[in-house]
Amino acid sequence: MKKLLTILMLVIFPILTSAQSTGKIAGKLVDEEGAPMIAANIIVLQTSFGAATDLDGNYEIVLPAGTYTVRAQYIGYKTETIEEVIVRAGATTSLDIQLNLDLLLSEEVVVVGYGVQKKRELTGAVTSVSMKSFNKIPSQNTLSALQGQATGVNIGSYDGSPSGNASVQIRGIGTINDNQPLYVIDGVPSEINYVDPGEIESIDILKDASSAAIYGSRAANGVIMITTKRGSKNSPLQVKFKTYGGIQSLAKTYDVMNTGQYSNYMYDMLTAAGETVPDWLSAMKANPGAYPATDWQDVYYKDAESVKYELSVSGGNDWMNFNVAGTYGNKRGIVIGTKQEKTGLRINSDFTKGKFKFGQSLAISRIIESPQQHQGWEGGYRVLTVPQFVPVYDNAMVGGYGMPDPSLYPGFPLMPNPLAVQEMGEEEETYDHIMASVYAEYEIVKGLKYKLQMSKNARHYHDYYFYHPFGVPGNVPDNSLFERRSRKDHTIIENTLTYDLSFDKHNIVALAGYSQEKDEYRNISGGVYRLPDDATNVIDLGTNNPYVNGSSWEDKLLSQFGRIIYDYDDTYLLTVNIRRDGSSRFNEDERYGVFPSASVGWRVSKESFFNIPEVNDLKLRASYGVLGNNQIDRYAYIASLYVNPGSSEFSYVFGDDQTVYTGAAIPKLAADAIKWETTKTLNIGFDLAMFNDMIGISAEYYVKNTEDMLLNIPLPWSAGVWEGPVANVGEMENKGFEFSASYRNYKSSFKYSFDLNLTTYSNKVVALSGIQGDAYLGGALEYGDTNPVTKTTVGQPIASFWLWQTAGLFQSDAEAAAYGLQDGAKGGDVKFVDTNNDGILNDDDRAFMGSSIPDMELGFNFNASWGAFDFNAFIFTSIGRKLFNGARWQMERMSEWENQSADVANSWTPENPNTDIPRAIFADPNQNSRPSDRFLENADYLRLKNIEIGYTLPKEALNLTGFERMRIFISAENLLTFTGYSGYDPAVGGGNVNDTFDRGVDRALYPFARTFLFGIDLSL
Amino acid sequence: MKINKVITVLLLALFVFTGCEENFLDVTDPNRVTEDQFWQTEDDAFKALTAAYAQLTIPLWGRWGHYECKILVENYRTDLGYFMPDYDEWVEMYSFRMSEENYTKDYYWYYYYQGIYQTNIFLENIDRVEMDNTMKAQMVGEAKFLRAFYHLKLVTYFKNIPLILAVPTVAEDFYPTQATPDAVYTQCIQDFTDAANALPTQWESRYKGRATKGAANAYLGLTHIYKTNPDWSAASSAFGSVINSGQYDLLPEFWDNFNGMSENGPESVFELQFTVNRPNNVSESQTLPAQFGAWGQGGPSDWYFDMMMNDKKADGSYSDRVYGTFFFDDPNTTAFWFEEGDTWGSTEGDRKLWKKWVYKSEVETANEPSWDRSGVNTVEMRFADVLLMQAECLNEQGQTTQAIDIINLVRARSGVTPIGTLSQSELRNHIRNYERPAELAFEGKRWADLVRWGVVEPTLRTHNNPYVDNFDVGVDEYLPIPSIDLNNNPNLVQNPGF
Repeated sequence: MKKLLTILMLVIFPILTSAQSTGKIAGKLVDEEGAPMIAANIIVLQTSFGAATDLDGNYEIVLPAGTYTVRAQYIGYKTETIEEVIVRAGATTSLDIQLNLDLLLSEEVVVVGYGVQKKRELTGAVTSVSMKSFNKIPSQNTLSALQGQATGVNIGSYDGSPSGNASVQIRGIGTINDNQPLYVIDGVPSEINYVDPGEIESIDILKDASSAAIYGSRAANGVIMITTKRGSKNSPLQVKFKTYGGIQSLAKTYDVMNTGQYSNYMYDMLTAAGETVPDWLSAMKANPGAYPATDWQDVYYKDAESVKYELSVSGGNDWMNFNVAGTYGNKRGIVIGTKQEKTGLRINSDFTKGKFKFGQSLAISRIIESPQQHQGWEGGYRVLTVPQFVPVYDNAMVGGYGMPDPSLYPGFPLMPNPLAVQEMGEEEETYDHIMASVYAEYEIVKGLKYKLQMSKNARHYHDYYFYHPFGVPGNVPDNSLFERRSRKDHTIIENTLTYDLSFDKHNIVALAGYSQEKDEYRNISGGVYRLPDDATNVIDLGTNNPYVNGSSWEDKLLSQFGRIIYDYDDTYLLTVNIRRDGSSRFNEDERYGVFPSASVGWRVSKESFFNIPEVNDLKLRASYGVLGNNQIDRYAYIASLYVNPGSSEFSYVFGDDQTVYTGAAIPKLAADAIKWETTKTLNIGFDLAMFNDMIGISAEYYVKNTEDMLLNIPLPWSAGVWEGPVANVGEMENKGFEFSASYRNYKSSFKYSFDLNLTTYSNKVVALSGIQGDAYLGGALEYGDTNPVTKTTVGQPIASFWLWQTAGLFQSDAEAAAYGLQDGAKGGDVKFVDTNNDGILNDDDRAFMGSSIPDMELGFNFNASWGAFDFNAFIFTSIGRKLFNGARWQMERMSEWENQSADVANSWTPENPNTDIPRAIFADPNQNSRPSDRFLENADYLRLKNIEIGYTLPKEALNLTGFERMRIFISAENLLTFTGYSGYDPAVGGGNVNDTFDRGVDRALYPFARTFLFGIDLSL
Repeated sequence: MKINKVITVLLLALFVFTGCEENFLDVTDPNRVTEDQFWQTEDDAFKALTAAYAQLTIPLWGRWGHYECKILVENYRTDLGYFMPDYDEWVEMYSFRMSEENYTKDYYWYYYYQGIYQTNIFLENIDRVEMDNTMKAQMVGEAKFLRAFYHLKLVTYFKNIPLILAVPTVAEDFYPTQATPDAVYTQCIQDFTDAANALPTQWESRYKGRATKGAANAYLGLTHIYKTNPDWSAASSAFGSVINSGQYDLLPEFWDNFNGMSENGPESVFELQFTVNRPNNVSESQTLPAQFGAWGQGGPSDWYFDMMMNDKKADGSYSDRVYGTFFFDDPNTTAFWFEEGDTWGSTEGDRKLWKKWVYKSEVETANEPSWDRSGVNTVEMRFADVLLMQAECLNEQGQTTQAIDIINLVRARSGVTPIGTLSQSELRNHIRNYERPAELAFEGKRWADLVRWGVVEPTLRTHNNPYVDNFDVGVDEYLPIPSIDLNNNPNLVQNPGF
């Protein structure tokens, strides 16, 4: 192996070794932990000599005898310069170098959009994710690995499904419209789903107006810059392989009524309401043991395995560098039948020749997902509310799944079997994605470069959905097959000019650019009913009601942009940005928006008067700027008619032959006067490094105001239209404080580090003028939008809980009658508070009770190593967060035939007055179940999100294997959670990407699993 | 010097790159037709009118709206039936525990207002279309008929409603105030009268289902008897013009009104059109077979069942309308799902279920409809209803004998023995508590009848409705205005008591 490596070295670095007048500098580069640094650069100043270290951290430079200054550098580490290195002819000068990690204000560069910037010169608010911690999170989903790793970034998971639905908010919820950030992957606006965490070299998050303004109209929600691995010049061939696999399981279950409790409860319910008790219920009450005892949670949630493989090959010589990475992950979900399978190949390379530079990025990926069916409606809710006497399987039923058989249980509603809902809706969604990008760069004169970049993202989507009927014979719909295919193409052409200039102590980098972007989408879908029974899978075989639909859209963006970054002596820093965007989503008069920003910085520690030896760097900075958002419906400004034959809302039947005629309607009103939504952000902050970078601290404060927010004005239904026109009428304010700190101690053999980040913000709706009622309702508990639990209105945070206030239970009929506001209320009914004291109980008494937005989120990373062992723990905590527990609402609503929580057995009776569960009465005449504070819970939690222990095998043990390095590790995800929340998981309900107002409601949403993993890291 | 040069280059670059592709940002919506391209031909006009008709079927969630909104709102609260506890909203409806938000009545409101909006769009734009003037006048008549139909339904069930006669354009238009019920009735009378003058007596075969002169007159009469102070004479004259038009007759078989065998036939004055022949899966079918009888959603109340047990032929056997109205344990009850040798008693026990429309007709058999949908049309206004309303008008005007003759016509069709001489008040009572329910049960008439007679609470009580204690007189006659409208329109006032 050594031999092979040597040969490789020789091929890669053809170095003359025999000339008599030459000597050598050789040595080893190690980091603070003493570990070899691979592919670090050694430069001999004022010469063209240099080398990169090999896999053992060794380097060797052959050069003429003389005295030299040698510089060793590596990204993220402080550069070391060694002067007076003497090289004698024919001799080898030994020079081992240790590099120290540079924490905050270093040579480290940050990707800022159309270029990079040295971190110490940054004046905007940019968070660089620590890849050391990020890489420790075993995930095939970049966003879930990112949660809690960066201050100012809230990754609100909607649920814990394998596809990892998450909504990302940078610095709060800036708008009621799309508030997802812009993802820029290797310089190309792109989708985040198709990047595997293992392919990522760095993640930089542009948060304030100054840093994000270069992306103008799409930057109001922040920008996440992802750079994938590209290999580096003059580095040896490196092969890395990582694999892990594990088991996930449901961490917590609800305690529901068994058949005995259920039959007693239903008996009480019906009797109290004066309803007839069916014979079957009396029989069940008498002998509950004779019935099935189905534990639906056990049937629906199953342990699930996951595996992941990552393989990469990288290297480079003096004119090129490359990285080829292949990944495969298969994550099955704990809801039976759900999965996400992800395969990816990414090839990146760069080439230099003279004044030219070329490069390419190519990524091909396929994602196959089987989702949870009817999540939260017939899915999660039913698992909890179908009574246990319903059997899982029953051969007498269509499909073979148990149902509440109407011949055995007349009058009992036909609640669908949740397992059948999941398994008989056979669905597979496939996303094929290609991202291809090429660039060419030419240095016109020294410092002035022109770059042309062309990219294409193409996505093909296929949905396959086969519905197999199940249920009571004679009462089932036909089976059916539905397929959808869509294609989305994103094309972008960018021209940029950059000019780098330094004179005296002035340093200037100027940028000007022009870009054109186009998104095109087209879909076709179709289906058919009644296919042969034996599970065929093509539409051709269906016999009834075939149908086909299709639509398309396009989106265009035309932009010019410019930026000047200036500093004087690395001490006084200034950045000015401007971008002008034209968007096809607006009419001609409002099409263009201009988005400027500026920021300043002052490195106080560079001043001669600064004399605090403990502080090795201190920078103060401030920025202000304007960003835009055009995330509204396409074509919203064009008045048009729906004439689609596929639209059943407007077609009707005429004639003796009963022909369906297509209608034409205007269900949406055009909004021709709309213009850009803009966000103005003020940011101030500082960066501090102390004790020679052992401690690093950054803090920021910002105020972010969104104006001319584009709102779809909700109209009364008497207007007769689907939705009102879009208008620029809202205002929103977000304010926040962000803090991050790190501490490293590598001085003893026990090396450890802490990283802490803290995010806090407040959100407030400032105006919703033009909206009658001044509010949006959201967070429906049930299908059909009834029972909203959130309200968004002026003066409150977005999607604030808006609920009835309760004051315990009436302890007697007399007490209820004396209260006088609840007609017909009896002892054991919930007492609702007349909060406005107007003597009537109505919707006006519903009160705001906080929101699901946390007051504070805190991520804490601990890394340590001792000899061959390494350890990582990541703790995440969310404080001041509330959830409406919709699952508990379903299980305690005590209204109809649904099974209930075991707690409901403890309902109020005159003999059992000390309880908070109201009396059992069918149909809930007092509406005890109305959305009230009874179901609002504190969802604070502290979670050990990840813990990992690794062991690196000693080199000797690998001698025969051919591997350079082998590390084995075990890890556990979500091992411990401390929370008072009673539901499956306090981390769900973080916001639905598709519906801003739907946050904070736990409809028995797909919980996060507890996962145990075992893995191996190999390199050669 | 050098800097100046660079800046010049940069500025130049910006200019060079921006000039091109003037029209790059111009787009059109490929999925729609713009307003400028529309309103050209008769076909355009017919399309716009079709969209107004389409709301008749409450196209909520494809095919469920007809049952879950229309049938529920118009039929669930009466003395005639019982219903199984299913969705909470349905329970709320029949047990008089109505909340402000209940999708059944909310969508009833929504789709009928969508229908009104479409008629107003049509009426405001029809003059842009170059087409045959006779046809144009007829189509204007149809639009007015539909606008009045939707308003009449809404005022019947919600009482205090906005009267919408124009397409909203400026912000204030979106937030109308409520009109008085009288103003709504007056407008309906106007629209129905205009429609009756413009509409043809019959449409050719391919256009059956469009509104006719007879339909407009029947609803004109209905408006006159529904309005706050009924105008019996005006109603009588409207019904008379329907009866004397020569276009209508009772079907020989009562049951053929409900089984799809006689769609748009001689007894049909206005009929909602459904089909299972659905091109491209467009939902134009309805859900009665599954929802109604076959899933056991409901059946006759004890009072109604007992009453109907007296609806007999001269030979003492049950009348045709008994067998046509509900399933019950009787050797002559048959259901389409019966196999050889099945009887109601042997398969369903002593359950009693609604039967009207629960039928798989031979017309549909060729297409094998599944149990959860049906193409059978629903007759919204039957000639038998027109006759019974005419009888009521005559009786109220003192012409009791003539009224009895008309009633006996309707009875004779089902083989029921005729009624003899009755006093005016006896006949009034007979019409209210026997004849109309016997003939028209579950056809969306009963609740409106009880409300207009002002007898809801005593009737429910006498007829043992189990939820009568929840019924608040002066409140529960009407439904609450949808909260979405109250929330978004500050000019609305909730109906009293909600």
